[in-house]
Amino acid sequence: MKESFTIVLFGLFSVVSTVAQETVVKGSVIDGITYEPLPNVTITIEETLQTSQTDVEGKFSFTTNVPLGEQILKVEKSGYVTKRFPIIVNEGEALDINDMMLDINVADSVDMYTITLSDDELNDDSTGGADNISGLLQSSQDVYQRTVAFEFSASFFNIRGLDSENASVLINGIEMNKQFNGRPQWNNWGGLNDMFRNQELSSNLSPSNYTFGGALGSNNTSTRASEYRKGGRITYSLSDRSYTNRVIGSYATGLMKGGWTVAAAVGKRWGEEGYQDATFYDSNSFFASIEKKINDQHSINFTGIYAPNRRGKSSPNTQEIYNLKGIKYNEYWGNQDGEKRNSRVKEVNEPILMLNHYWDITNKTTLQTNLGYQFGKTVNSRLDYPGGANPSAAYYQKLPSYALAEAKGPDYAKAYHLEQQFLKDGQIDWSRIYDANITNNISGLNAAYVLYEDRNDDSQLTANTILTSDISDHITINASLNYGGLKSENFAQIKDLLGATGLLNVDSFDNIQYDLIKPNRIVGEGDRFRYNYNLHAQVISGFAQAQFKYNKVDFFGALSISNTNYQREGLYQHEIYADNSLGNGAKLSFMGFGVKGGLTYKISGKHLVDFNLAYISKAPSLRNTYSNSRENHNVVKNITEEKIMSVDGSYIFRSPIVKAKFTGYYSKIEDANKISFYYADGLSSFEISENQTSAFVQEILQGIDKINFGAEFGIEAQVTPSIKLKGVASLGQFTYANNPNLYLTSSSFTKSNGIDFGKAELKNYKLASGPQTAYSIGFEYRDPDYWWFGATSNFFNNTYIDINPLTRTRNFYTDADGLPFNDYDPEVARHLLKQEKFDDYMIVNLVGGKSWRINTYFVGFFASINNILDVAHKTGGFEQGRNANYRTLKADASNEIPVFGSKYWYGRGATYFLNCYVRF
Amino acid sequence: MIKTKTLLAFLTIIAMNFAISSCVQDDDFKVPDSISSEENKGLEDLLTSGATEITMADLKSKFAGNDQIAFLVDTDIYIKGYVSSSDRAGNFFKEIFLQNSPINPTDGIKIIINQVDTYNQYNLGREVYIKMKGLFIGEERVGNGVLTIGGTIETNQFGTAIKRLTENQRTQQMFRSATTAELEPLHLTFSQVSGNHIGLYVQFADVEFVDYLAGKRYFDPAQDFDTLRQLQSCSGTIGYSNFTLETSSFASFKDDLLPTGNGTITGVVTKTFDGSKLVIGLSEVSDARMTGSRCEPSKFEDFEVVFKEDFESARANSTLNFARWTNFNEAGKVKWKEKNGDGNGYAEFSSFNSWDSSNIAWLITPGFDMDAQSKVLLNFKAAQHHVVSPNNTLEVMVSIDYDGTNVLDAKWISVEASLPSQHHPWFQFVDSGLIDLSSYSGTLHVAFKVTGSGTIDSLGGGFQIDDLLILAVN
Repeated sequence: MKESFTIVLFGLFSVVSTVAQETVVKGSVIDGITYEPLPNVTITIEETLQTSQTDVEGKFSFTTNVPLGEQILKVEKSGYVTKRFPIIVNEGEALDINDMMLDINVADSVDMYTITLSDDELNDDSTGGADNISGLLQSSQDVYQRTVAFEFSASFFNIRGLDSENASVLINGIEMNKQFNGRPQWNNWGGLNDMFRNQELSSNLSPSNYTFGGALGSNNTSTRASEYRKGGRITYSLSDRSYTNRVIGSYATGLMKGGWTVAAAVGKRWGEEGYQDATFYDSNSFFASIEKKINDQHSINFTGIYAPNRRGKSSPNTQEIYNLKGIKYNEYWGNQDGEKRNSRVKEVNEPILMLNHYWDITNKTTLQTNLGYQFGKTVNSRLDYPGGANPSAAYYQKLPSYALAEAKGPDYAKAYHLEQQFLKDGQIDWSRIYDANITNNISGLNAAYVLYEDRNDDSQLTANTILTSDISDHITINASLNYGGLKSENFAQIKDLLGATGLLNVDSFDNIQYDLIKPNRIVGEGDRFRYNYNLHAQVISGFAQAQFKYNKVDFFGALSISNTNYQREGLYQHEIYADNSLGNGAKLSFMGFGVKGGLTYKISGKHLVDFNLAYISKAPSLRNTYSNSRENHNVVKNITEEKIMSVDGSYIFRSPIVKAKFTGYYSKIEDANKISFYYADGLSSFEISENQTSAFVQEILQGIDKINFGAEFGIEAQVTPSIKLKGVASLGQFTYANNPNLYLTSSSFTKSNGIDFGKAELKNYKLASGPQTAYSIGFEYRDPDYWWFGATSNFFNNTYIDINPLTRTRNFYTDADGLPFNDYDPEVARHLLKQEKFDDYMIVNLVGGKSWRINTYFVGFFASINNILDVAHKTGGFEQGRNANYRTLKADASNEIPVFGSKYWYGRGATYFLNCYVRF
Repeated sequence: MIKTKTLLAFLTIIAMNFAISSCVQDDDFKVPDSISSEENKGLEDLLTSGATEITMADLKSKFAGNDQIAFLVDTDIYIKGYVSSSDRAGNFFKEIFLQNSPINPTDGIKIIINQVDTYNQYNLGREVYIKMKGLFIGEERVGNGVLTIGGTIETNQFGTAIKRLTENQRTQQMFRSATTAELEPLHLTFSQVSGNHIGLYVQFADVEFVDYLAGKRYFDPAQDFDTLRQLQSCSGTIGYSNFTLETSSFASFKDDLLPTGNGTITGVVTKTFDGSKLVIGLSEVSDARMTGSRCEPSKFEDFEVVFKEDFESARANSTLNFARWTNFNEAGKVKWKEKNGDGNGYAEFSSFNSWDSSNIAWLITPGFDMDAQSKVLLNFKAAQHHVVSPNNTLEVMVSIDYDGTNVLDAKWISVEASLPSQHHPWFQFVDSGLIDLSSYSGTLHVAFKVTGSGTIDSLGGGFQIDDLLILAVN
């Protein structure tokens, strides 16, 4: 049927030959249902791999080096069924193929996965360092990248072992990565999938027309109203993953009278509980884009995005806890009046406003000028217990291991009691918390417990201008200038006094004043307390690039330069850091520099090779610059720009049936920093107040080098018109490449510049960046009657725990006098410090769906089941910082169950997702 | 046409979105109504279960009746008490003291539980009921003299010690009522404090830290756990009388400077870890209100000596025979003896080697005319050696109807005096304090009565008396 359809289409083409010197292939593409022109369709001449994009009117053209004779024109656009049209090109003639029709991909797999993933694990803090890259890759056409996005990301697989801070995420040319940690905050546009389809991905080191990008490349989403397909869509989804229900409605008007185009969407996602206990979900999404076409050269577009999102977080747990309570256990909640109340709620509420000016200076040169403003808040709530016992039922002293580890031998009776207690309840006792505060009211005392929020209120203004010019048929020039200004207010705020009358703004642990300006202040609901400071950041950057495209070879070169300034402004005067906390801190300045280049050599239409090389130096993120910004102005000692050097080379094979790509890569990161906060036990130093051995510390690991190298392989074969087979392999090795310096700071230390522990022996330890090896095999069956299904089997191994660097320093083996412990045994130490590698696992996913066309409506549904075999698997974890030396670690390791064992995240068991939609 | 439909559909979607009222957790949680309802029910069940309330004194005698060995309570009894300590400042750890009454308490007891920050549940003055069945009564450290309720026991080479209630036991056995009483601290002087005051919320007035502690802190960093700081008082003595404040290394006020003034200190009477010494512990550092000017102790010169006996004429080891004194053996054949050691003479009674099964020996002073002066004070020094049992006693009594001969016919009234206990070092003379006898008239005799045994080893200790003075204010 499909073939005959193509022939009919072919027959309809109005093939017009005009008398001309040039050999030209041009035409236009329209939607098969609405007959509206389709922009951003990629047209490829398969033999030479020349590509062109359709413009707003759906038009495209090839004017240079057009191959002659029988050719195949491939027409593809995300969300549509790819078509291949045979054409005949005659020398000196212009071939004009108008109104090629593209049909919507009924399987709509892009949508399917963007729903299940981008809403879901993206940017979930509870997964520690293993953030998710799938949002970046979902528009990719490459089988390897699609597999990473849709099959691997739930396992916190990282492409090339690199974090998402190595990818620039842009909306309308404006970079959305946060200054705080360099990562995009996907929640800010969650639930608006219909409006985030016009994406352009430049993966890894390949060039982008908008930005220099990072080592993982860049992704630009356009929300320009005129680029949306005219029509609407209503979607309803049901799932047991992070939310239960989702409703989205969207509509785009297409170009209306007076040059106006409007696109809008509304979405809601909600659920009482996700996969983990008490992880509720509550999100609304609003989107509007309005474009006014002033004339053929100028167009102005306004976009507003508002996607407030609240969700209950879940805890990482020790194996002891998982064994007792299962992998859905979450320590953060407890019952209150019959409801599961989660103490740790994350709320993201950061509206985005954008104004974009599109100027077609000539038909070869465009200038896009953008103004963006984003403001709002990111909120993480938690319980504080200045006058009460730790409210967590999973606190180590409440678990059986604690009784079994007693110094005079295991106390089995107590362990049994604790186990029963934990099994019976094991959650926060909100009644007790309220009772404690009410009891304190009787005694005229302040709150024993409060629920407070760590708030981060950013307002970011961005302005930039991006020039694109095709200065000849072979050469395209891109350039941009960018300014970004950020004011980030950071403070803690009382959310709920939980029945108390007030809270004393003093550190209850050691009676230190958080703010000497107003000592002993009593704070109430809505008041700021504990810490209060602003961070200011300004970034000015420029980018220039030249891309060259010829018959046999394409190559490009790009440069970027940036200047970044940071300054901390303290609003509280901390008692311990009285001279170093209030007012403006020193102004920091970093110069970033990037250079990259690449070359693609087309041996033939079937065989290509591709090489890229990049060197990027950039300012460290705010998070890795200030070592303890809540309390003082301190900056990581000897701070400098972070550097990444990256190379890759690929061999690409393309035939009408088989597409395959093999890539080798090598990246080296230098001078990275990492700051961690934890309670350390077993410190050895005379520099701690009163010779204590434990303290709440900031751990600063500075000058970290890492080497990530490996190979990527992806193959897909269309073995019959309806059956496609897929295979992907990723083999990597991601390691620390040096022994970085480690020092600790703490308000409990006698010296404010901390204790230097010298080198941390990290070299050759594995990085905790998800599975370092992953494989996937799968197939898709697409029936001509618009139903389809697919299955994949995915294998993961070489996933490692995040090690605790402090135990790899001299602190591990030296006693307080600086000499090694007299019972130190290097053999035992080696065993204790061996990095844990998680078990291999296999995840099988199924997906299938069907759709119908009723007049001008499309109705469809699909369902997916992930991890159908319900395999319990660890996706990540970290060593606790408690046992910082040989003796304490050895003592704990020799316990039947360690008291301070590593904490883990488990992936989900079997889950489902159902989706149905109507398009019109 | 299509536009209208789509617009309608779109509006429907928006309406749907907002019609779905937030069915997920919102921010708006109120103080729950059900707070402590479970506990109230537990208390109600206990009070209606037919269990018998017994007093703390009863509980103490049960322990004494079990030869001071820890035991499990297996009868349906409960006690009621009022919380007299607070761990808010960290000076008490996993322990709560209870007293039997908010005012004028007479008995206290300790309960040890596996819980920190108990203050925000068992707040000072809270009425607490303890269902005793299933709990243990004994001592946390065998022989320390602090009667304690625990959840289990552990036996080691010292005997059977009490251990903490588990979380589960606590919720099943300890119930609060809604009452929080205002505690009126028991006003005591240092010389009055005895083991009977353990667990009570007491107050000492007109006290100060000893002179050399000026500039020192509550906690001495050279100590590992607890720091003892000496208090002194000028009232009721010639010179100073003393007592001890104990502070834990976990107290939040451990680094505060000791107050240098004179004033009141309010806290709980307890004992040092080894049980060797009575001390006071603070719940809050603000309970030490010592901001007045320091006191001047009374000096000997301030008084007129009405009578003085320093026993310097004593002949070693002879039966005491001083003019006008009475030396009477109520039981047994031995009497008070004259002693002389290192040039110091004194009187002593000991049952050791008497081979009498019971010894009761009286030493009675000459009579004094109480009507000659308006204010008359008694002062003496006493010491002990080999005293190991609280039943081996020295008592101080007075009589105004003693005829000089018939000891047992007279009415003897006990007077409070600071006396050496078994915990004092041997042969160390303890000042009795100034004992005010002004309320007596006529002819008054003072008696020292020792009870012991020559056949029971634990009752064979010796008591010594020296430097007896009857003073009058000039």
